[in-house]
Amino acid sequence: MTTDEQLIERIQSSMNAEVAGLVPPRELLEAIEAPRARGLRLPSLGAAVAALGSAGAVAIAVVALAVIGHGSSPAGSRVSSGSNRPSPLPAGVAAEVRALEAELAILRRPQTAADKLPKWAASQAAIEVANGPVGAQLIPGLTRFIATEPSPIGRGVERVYMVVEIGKPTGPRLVGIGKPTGPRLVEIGKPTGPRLVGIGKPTRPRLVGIGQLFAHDPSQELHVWVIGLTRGVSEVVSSPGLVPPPADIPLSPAVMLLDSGGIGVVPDGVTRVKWVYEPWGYKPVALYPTIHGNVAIDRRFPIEGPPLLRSATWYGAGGKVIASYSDAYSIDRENRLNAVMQSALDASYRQPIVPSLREHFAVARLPRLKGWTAGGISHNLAAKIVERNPYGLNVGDAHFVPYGGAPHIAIGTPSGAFVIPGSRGACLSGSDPNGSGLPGFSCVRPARVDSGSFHVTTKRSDGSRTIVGLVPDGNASVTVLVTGGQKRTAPVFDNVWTLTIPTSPATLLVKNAAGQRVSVTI
Amino acid sequence: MQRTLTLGRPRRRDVDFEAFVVAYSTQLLRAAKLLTGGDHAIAEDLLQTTLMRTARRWQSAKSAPEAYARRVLINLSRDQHRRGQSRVREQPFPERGGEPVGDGQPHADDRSRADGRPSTPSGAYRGAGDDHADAVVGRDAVIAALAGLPARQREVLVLRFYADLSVAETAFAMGASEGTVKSYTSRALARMRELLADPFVADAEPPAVEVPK
Repeated sequence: MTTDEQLIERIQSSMNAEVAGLVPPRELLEAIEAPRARGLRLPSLGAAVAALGSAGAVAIAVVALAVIGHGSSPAGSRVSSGSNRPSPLPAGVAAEVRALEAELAILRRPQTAADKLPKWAASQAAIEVANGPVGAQLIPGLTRFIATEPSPIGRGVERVYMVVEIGKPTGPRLVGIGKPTGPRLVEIGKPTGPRLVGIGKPTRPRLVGIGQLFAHDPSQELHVWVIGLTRGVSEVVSSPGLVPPPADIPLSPAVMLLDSGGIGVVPDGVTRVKWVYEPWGYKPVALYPTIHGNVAIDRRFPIEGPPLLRSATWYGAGGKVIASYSDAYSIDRENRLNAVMQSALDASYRQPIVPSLREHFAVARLPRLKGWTAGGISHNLAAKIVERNPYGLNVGDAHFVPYGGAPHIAIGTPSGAFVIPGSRGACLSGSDPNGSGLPGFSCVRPARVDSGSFHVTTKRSDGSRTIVGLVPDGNASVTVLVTGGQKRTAPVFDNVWTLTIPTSPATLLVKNAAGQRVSVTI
Repeated sequence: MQRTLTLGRPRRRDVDFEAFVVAYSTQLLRAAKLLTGGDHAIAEDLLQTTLMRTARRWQSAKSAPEAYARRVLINLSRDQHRRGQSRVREQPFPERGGEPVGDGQPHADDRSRADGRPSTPSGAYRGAGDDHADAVVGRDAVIAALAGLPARQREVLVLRFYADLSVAETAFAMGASEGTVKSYTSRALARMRELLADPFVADAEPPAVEVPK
């Protein structure tokens, strides 16, 4: 019997270990305004640039609004007499917005009428951002007019705006690999050699994305490109053409390559920007884009179509290099990441499967699938493996079980569950059979698997929840008693079952690995 | 440990506040993470709001800023807990390696492990012969059980056994009487004992994931 002292000691040590090494991000503290201080002191240029690359919750986008044929310049618009933030900021982002304002002069000036997106464009942008994969909400009060440019499609003019958007919460993501120093690194793996620096939740769970908007009105079109100067950019955006700053380079000028040129957001203090393109088969060509406020624009390409961006450099006063980016670093970083990941996966293939799993679970006796690659594994699973593989998972012996007993395939069917056996446990990753969404994921020890109660849950906004479970052989079906005594039955295919039930507690009736009938509250 | 804070002109009060932030923000963040059931991102939000509210009420808070901030944090975590009932939750995710935070160096507030060996910056002990798998799973179980406690019971465990507060200090932070704190402590330990003795719960079982319909 554990004494209270032993229990408390266990709780204490677990809590301490859980949060050991956790310190607040520097930018979070910097964003706190001390009492009585009127506004933040503008950080040094270096700090501003670093923060520019790491502000978390809000993102900068550039909007190009093409007004074909009847484009009127907004230059003569009257200045709004109202506040530059007419609507209150959503909770939790005020500090990030202030941090952006400290770095971008254009956001510090009052919003004018010309800065506001036309109504149709604003509503389109809001909808598109909200429905996009990463963005959540625009902050209308921070929209700024940047410049009027000749339309890249050769008709009319194009207005370029900067907008600020809040990213939406998201799940785990792969960050990358990099140097063992720097404020944004997560160290997982051996203390020497290349380190996997991040498979995990972002510190601030709001990421930025890239999207293009097209208005319904055929004479007008709106594009929104998130140039992204937030921490999220280098972590998330994978759209073709974007050159993300490496995660481990705090000063990294991001450049958005469009079909018709490049756009980049630059912080205060940058007086000149150089982009070097390397067209395929041609010599590198350097361009010096025009800086409008805090946005660098150059719609020229050395040849037709977007070429590779070899490097980007920000210069300050006197020609001093503030930050630079080279794709060589990015390639090297990706290679190192792949090497670490592949090494972990290779080791995983050699993990023996715990005998009880082989004995009691048909799915663990299935032959290894040919053609299985690790490319489709979830970040959750990858993290478990890379993090010293505490459950001894064997990715090579993982099997995908489609709901309803469809034939086995390795990957590609959206509705089903992955069963990943291992030497010291097993993992289950089940998607929601009723729609898209994050899969439930959990790993447990063999005893729990043998109990028949191993399951993952996804809750749905309508109050119901979908359960995906793994049961031993001998269970042709499972029964779930829900509130009110209602009985629900789910068939079992390859040891996997799924059922959608109300959120209230329910009782699962199954046979465990010993063939005994057991009931478990789920 | 180098800290960089740029919090306005160096007035006397600012210096005090900065000193408070430097001294306590790490501890507050760690407590916030435990109070939120291990959600680092929400913990950062709570810390940020806690510091901002403390700054706004610095005149009244400065005599005992740590206690004031702790109470704000507790209240915020309760609000967060209530909001969390209807909020889309993120995929639970192991964060053993820590988060992209600070300078990655051990902080002065890092506690030693119960066995007397120091924790690494990443929170994972790397001593020779240590069974990392058991350590991870064991810790998973405790943290999962902690997350499964009612909010008040979780608060009392975090405040008393992580923040190492006395009953009186815990009572102030929670806005409750000392008797209530003792009662919560007793119930929380009993519940933890039950949960950790249950082999189903002793396995890591992350909280449910809510999926937008």
